Amino acid sequence: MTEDLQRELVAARATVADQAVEIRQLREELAGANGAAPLRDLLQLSTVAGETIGSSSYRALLLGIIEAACRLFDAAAASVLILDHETNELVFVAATDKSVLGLRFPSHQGIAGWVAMTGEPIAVSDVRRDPRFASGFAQSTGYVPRSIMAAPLLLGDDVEGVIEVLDKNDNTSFGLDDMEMLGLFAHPIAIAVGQAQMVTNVGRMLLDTLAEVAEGRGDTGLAGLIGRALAGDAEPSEQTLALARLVHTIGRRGERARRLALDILESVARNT
Amino acid sequence: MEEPVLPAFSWPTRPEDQPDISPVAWRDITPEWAWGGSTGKGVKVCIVDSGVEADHPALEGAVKGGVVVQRSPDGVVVREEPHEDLFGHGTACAGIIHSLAPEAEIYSARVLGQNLKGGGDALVAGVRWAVENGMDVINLSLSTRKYEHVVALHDLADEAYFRGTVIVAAANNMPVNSYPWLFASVISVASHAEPDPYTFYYNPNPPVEFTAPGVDLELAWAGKTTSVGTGNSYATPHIVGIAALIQGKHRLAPFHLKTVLYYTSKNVREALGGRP
Repeated sequence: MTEDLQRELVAARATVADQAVEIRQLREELAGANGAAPLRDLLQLSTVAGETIGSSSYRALLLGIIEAACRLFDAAAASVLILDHETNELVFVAATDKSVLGLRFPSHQGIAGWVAMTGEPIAVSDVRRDPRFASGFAQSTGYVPRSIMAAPLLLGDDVEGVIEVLDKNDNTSFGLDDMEMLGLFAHPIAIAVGQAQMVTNVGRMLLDTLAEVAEGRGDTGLAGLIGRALAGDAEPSEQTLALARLVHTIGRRGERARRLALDILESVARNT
Repeated sequence: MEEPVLPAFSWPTRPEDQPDISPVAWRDITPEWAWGGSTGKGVKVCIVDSGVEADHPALEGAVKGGVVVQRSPDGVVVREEPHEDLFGHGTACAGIIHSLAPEAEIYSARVLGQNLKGGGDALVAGVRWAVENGMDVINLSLSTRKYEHVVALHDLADEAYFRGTVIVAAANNMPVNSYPWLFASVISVASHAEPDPYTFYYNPNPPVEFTAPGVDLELAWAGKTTSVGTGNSYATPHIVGIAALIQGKHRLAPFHLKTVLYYTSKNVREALGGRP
């Protein structure tokens, strides 16, 4: 399973590289004439694609991870933090306690900081005895756990984030088996997070390029549209998203299903 | 006949030139022989970690010095200065070592910090300082996954081995390759779940060579507090403490020390007939 995921990651990286080349070519083509209409189509497509395979499924994935972690370790809470390499901060991107989402703290502090610095998992109980830990945790989450276990999200040699599991429901400490399990659990999460980040980066690169081209052409309407997409408020409709997901699902059902779906969709397009 | 001229790095070739040695029969290598009566006096132990809180009550003044590895525009630099434990982990290791070898001198090389990002270069610098400054045993609960540091670390581990510095390194708790615990020149340690601090096992399936207590341990922690922790990080200082006791009594070469650990491990003793 791990090797498959690694292969997938390599393939995803190759796709990103191909897409970067395509974006460059696109930029050159768009610098020429007849850009506005294809640009709008492309923008819409990229927004839908980004929402479908990017942030919404990413959020669902993270939520699923949190729920699975809580159930697997019989824990009261769990969270995923991502390392922001630019600011050297850890950011809560998923958590049982929604109020901590988006919270940031320096990546060399606390238990998650230790894991990010060393790339080693850790299990500590009775952490409330350390007043610095308790106040730091209480300030950021309003909740001071009794026991905590955390493991790094490793992509290749690099730590990309941390997964934390808090407080076993039966009040026992996290043991060696738990730690080993969390280590195994963290690996596919790291790959998923890495892929999601790549998708986000490619989408952002595409929108940046489009914004540059639109500005160069003096197309203020388009520039505004792109600006909104970059700001993250260009929400496609629920129906569009559902359609995109359906296309994605059918795409995975094989050649026959794809051909059938294509025929139906073409007929709908012709007759509406 | 003229004496043959041998290069300085050569070795005695004639039976009468062989240096005196005093080997011990394996049957006599028991815990009592190995460390009975030793307190680790005269042994220098370096903890390469998050720093050690020198005035923590559990350490009873055993900390004799330390360095901080910092990043400068020219790379990492090592500064000799008092420092605190950024986290608690180094103090936890020191507490375990001190509880086993109360008269061993503890030194700290802090290799983690705000701007270091847990860099492998800081780890290499910390271990180098310990080797070059005559530490007898090095506690290394950390490792690096960065292959670019492997050659430097490997050379350093070999240098330590030939100088007589014993590096005891924690096996990674994650299923990944990291160093130096995977090197043959160091002693690698993972955890077992028994509470007796003197109980350790030989593991016949490498790369982990020994297991020591690492589950639900009462630990000294930063801020003069305590904590309870689990992991190979805390098994390692148990072997370091035992190694400090042995070196306080016998001053063995690293390979010999590893052999003594083998003969004094619980499963080997039991297999040999339950010797004390």
